[in-house]
Amino acid sequence: MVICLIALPVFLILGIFSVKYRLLAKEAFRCFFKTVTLKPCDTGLDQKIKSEITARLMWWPPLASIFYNRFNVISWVFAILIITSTFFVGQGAYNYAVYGNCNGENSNQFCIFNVVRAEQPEKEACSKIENEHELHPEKIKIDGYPVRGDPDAKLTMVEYGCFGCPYTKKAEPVVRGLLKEFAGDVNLVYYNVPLSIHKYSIEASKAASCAREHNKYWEYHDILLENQDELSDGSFARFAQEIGLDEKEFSECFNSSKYDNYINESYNGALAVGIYGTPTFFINNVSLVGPQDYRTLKKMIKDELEK
Amino acid sequence: MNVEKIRKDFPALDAGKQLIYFDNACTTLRPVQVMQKMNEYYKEYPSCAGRSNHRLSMKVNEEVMKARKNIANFFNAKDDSEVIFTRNTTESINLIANAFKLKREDIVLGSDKEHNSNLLPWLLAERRIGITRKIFKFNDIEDFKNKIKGVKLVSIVHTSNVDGTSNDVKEMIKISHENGAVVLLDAAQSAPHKELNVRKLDADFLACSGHKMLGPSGIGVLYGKKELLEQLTPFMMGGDTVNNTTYDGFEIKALPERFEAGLQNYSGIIGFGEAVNYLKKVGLDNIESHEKELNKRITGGLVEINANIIGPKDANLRSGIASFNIGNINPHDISLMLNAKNIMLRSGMYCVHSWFNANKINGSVRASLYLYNTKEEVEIFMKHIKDIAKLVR
Repeated sequence: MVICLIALPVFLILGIFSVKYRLLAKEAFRCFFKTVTLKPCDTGLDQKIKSEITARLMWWPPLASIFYNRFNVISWVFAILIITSTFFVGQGAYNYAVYGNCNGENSNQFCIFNVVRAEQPEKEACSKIENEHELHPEKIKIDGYPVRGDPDAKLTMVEYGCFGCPYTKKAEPVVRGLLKEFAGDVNLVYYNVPLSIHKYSIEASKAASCAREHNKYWEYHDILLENQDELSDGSFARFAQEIGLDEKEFSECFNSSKYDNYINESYNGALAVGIYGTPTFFINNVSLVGPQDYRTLKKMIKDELEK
Repeated sequence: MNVEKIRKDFPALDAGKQLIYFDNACTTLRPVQVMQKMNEYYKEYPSCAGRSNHRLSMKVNEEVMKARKNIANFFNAKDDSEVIFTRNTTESINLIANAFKLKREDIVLGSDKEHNSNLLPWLLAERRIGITRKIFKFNDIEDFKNKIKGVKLVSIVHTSNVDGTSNDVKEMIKISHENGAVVLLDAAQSAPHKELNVRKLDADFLACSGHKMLGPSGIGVLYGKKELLEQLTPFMMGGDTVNNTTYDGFEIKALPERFEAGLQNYSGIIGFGEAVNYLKKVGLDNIESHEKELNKRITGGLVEINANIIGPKDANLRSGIASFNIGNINPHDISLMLNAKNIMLRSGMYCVHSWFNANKINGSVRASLYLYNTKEEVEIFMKHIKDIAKLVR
């Protein structure tokens, strides 16, 4: 009888695809109903399942014998497993709905519902340093770094990113969407960390700084990430032209070494904070490494705003 | 008897299907000859018999008459009009239960191993008109003799569908007649498997079904001695049962039409006629000995694994039926496991609940054989049965 507890969800799912299984699902439901109301199951479904599986195990009689004679015990084991797993799936779904992550509040572990993370659960950040280590949000120094959104916003989200890093690019739509949703309440400080593992990342930092001189930092930031795959010696001037910068002035700045120290200091500043991969986000003292899904970041922002 | 040749007539047994069909006591497979004959009606003369004057109607009439004659010959009836078409054995028995003149306290005798078809009509008559029912132990002549006194009608099964054993009906009919009782024989399970000669047996009535003897489903026969049939009052009247009617009365038709109300199952009748032709060609004696031979092999295997055989261990006494249990394995489990191996047979109480309940047996597995089954099939069957037996060792 207890086998119906397992059969019902299985046949319900299979019933989506085939009428044959819908009929079995009906039988399983009747049997399930009888079982939970402590009445004997009279559909014969349990018998059919038991006999069918036993017949298929006949190639090895001892196994068939164990299955046939211990069918109730085996059914109970599977029923308990399915009930337990259903409980955990339910808990995960609840966590996902409430906290944006199926593992619960503030968890950064793998969650199957989070599609972005599921794609690359292992290494999702661009990193020059192999080992993860502790981050020190108290050492963040963002004075003078470009701010996107209302400078007087209640909350500042800090992003350590690299123009050459594909994960920084991947995180961008989520960041922009959140800034739009929380316009006025949240702003973003982008702290560029040019990782030498990405070709042209230092050049890109320099070019963005040149654009900033003309209040075109964010336009240049966006065009760099959007065209990340096209970064080349000639691309920086072209991008500058596309956003309306003076070609001559930009080239003079770009070819000079005026931002070399600034870029080095930025990089060292990031190391002091403990940054080991880009993008890394800080929302007050909470840090997240790697591109995050929208719900996770939104939940964190809301929590911080409500504090 | 060339079984391989016979098997080619049965499309359900096509080699590709790898089907082992051991559920012949429930219903048999049909040969292509029967199907063709039935299709012939629908294709060439799909009309009604005995009513219209046109060519198609005449043709149906002719084919129905031929079928009736074939069936009358099959049972060696004196006259074709002694064969009445019904839907099945159940309807034939119900016809007698309703048309035979029974009154309060008339006694009807039956065995303790009757199919529900030959139990329920009498239980109903007991409630409806107050007849008295008596039961004797199956095939126990002494018990039969003890109970026959004062009996008006004996309604007994010939061959049991539970275990294949048979009542000694020749002796029972003789004793019944000596005591003034009329005998109705439920031949559903005997007619397909052994030569039945109603005149030699001196049976008064005999009921059987087409679907258990290679014929179509939905067609059966009630044989009755003419003089007895004429005494019956039809319980179902309608189209083609009368010659004429007025607002106040009717002139009833002769036999057999008076018992065949409404438009008949012509295709079924014609197919049934072809089925008995087929059986006659193969020979009932050949079929009977072939079944017994196969049953001996099955019985030998069952004895080897200590199965509980229902009925005598001598396969010769159980025609083509082997009914058994293996240890405490639920019989339905066995049939379902065999189904997974493409072996079709039946499990349960086979509509003879009364006997199983009285004997406190919770059903059994039943392998029932027929002319198209082979020794190879029996071997495969026994291999799987032995595997199943290992489950409880």
